[in-house]
Amino acid sequence: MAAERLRFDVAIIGGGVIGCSTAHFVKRTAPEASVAVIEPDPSYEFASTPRASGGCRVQFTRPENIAMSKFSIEFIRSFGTLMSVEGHASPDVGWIEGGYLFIVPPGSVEALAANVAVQRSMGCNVELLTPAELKAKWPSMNVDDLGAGAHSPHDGWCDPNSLLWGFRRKAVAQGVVLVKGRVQSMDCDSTAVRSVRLDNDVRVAAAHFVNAAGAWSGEVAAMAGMQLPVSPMKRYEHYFTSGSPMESLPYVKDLDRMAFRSEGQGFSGGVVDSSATRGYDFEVDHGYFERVVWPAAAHRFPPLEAAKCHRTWSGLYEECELDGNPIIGRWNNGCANLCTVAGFSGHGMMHAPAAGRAIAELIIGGRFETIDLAKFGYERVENNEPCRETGIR
Amino acid sequence: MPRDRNSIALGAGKPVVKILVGTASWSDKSLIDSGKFYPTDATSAEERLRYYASLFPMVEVDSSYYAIPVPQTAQLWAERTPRNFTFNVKAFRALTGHQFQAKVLPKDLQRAIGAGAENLYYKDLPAELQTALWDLFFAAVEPLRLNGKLGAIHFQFAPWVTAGGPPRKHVEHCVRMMEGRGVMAVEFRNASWWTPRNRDSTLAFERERGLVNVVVDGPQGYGTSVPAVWEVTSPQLAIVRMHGRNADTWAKKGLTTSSQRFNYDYSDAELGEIAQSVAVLARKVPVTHVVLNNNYEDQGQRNAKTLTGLLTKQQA
Repeated sequence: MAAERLRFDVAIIGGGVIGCSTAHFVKRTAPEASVAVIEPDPSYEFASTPRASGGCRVQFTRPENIAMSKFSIEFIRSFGTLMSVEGHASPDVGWIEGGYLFIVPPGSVEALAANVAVQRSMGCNVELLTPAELKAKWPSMNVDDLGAGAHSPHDGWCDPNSLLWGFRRKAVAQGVVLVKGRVQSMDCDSTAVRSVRLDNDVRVAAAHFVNAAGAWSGEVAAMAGMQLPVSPMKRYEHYFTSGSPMESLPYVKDLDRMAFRSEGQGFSGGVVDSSATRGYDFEVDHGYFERVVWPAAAHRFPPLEAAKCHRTWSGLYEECELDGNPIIGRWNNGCANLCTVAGFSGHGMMHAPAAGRAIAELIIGGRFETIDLAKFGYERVENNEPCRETGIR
Repeated sequence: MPRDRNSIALGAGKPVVKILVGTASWSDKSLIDSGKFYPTDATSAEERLRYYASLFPMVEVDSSYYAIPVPQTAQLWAERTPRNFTFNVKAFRALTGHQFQAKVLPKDLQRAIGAGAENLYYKDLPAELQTALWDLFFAAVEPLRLNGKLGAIHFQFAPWVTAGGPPRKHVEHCVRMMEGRGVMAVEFRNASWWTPRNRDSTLAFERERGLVNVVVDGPQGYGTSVPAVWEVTSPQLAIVRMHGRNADTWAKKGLTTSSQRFNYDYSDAELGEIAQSVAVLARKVPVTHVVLNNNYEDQGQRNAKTLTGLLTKQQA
């Protein structure tokens, strides 16, 4: 039997939140374009998006990240209207404007203040708080070893799964075709990817390809001969409750990569282990909460001494090994019709709207139009020029 | 980059400047009833907007002056127009100092204000309801902004908004409320802003705040007449708004529709003169909008088409 052949203007590899956002924005920008999203598992059992924690914040130091956050947060706030599909209820992503709070020891106050200044210069509402001010706002917090905190009250979090399905449903309503299958090989010449072959023998040809395969994007890139320094890195998320009464918390983050927030009656979050072995490993270490998360959380909020972990799950970061920032752009020195939008290193859901729009601009208009993301291009990988965040990641 | 449809690019050299010509509203009753503009098969709101947007690169939303639309409506406008289409949105009448009725507001705000209340003024509302009106208005235009299709928010201030005293303070209040919300265009309808004594300070006021000075072409000699001030005050946008020159109806009370007030067909000679002035203005700013507000039947659309042709010919 001959292999099935499909042809599109744009074929997006990866149907997670980044892929579906990109598909939506391409159709929004060019309704006449034919667009496919190739996804091996439309139920998203192991995909990163539904396993994400949902945080969205402007507290970054790279202007590109701040600008992406600003747009994405506005977009997520209006998501129900923007993603409405005639005949369906508007998607509700459950946006909670709980704020973010970055906390640092005395030695890092100057750096935090400098970061806040950058954010404020870009119109963000971020306030630098002294330990006493922190204590006044969140009485349960142990501030003895803290130098300052940066509070951004308009940041928050949403339900990543609803965001993904909202984008997906809208994209389908716009005419995007979902193709089930795992990309197994690419047919390339020296300047372009011509087609991709899927594990079900379907061949998809397109004028433009987008690698939005998240934790799998390094493998996908390798099929085109492109070295993409993006690895799957396991991260645990825990839902826990406090044994003693305590106030609601913003999304609290510190330099040791502890990060958690209020969730219903309890809290959700964890401690990122940057040294986690890379690989497609979803095994849950049920001792991790007790060993790593609980001591850190209880030190910062003593009422959490009696915390009880109810559930732990794992998900994959698409970790950019070069600098922890995403790679967004064309492979100009190789297959130039292959765009990469991957390596978000834990920020993919929050930047999905801006990143999807950026790729649409690049494909349809030939350049970034609203946010200049040139510094996040693949050239920095080729030139080995990391573009890192400073301070809390 | 694909060229913008229907917009006029001025000059072969850089910087690129664009002139977008459109009309105030695309769905006036007089326009639809005339049968002179829309094809007979364009019978729905969607088909009409799609047709309009296939001919013009921008439009001014006027319905928002009478009642704040729901965000879903603005989202549909964005979805039904081409990529580079631009909407200028007229600010809700309460915000520009005009009287309004509670019945045009959502039910919860009606209850808060007092259902059935008429002849309300913004200044008489408690601060939290004033804020609620702004929030409602911003929520309405947000889908256009997030779709990259919002041009300017057009504030056509009431005739009694004078250049001094509390009315001026209200304009300043609007400027503060608009901070970070988009480009604000101001059209004054009280001549005090443009007296020889105040002209320079009005322009300075606009420039300091980055407001778009709306150049008004309309009949002269009335209390609500303002001169056409061909000056650019915003670094990004200029707007020329053409109301027609119908001196008989301009200040007439008791007219039931705006199309009666703005019933005027610009002659080709008049449009030629205006095109020359527009071309000069447009060289000072990246984007210029020309909005035809003479809206009896298809006058605006016809004149906009002629003006587009004249501007294109001028640049050829």
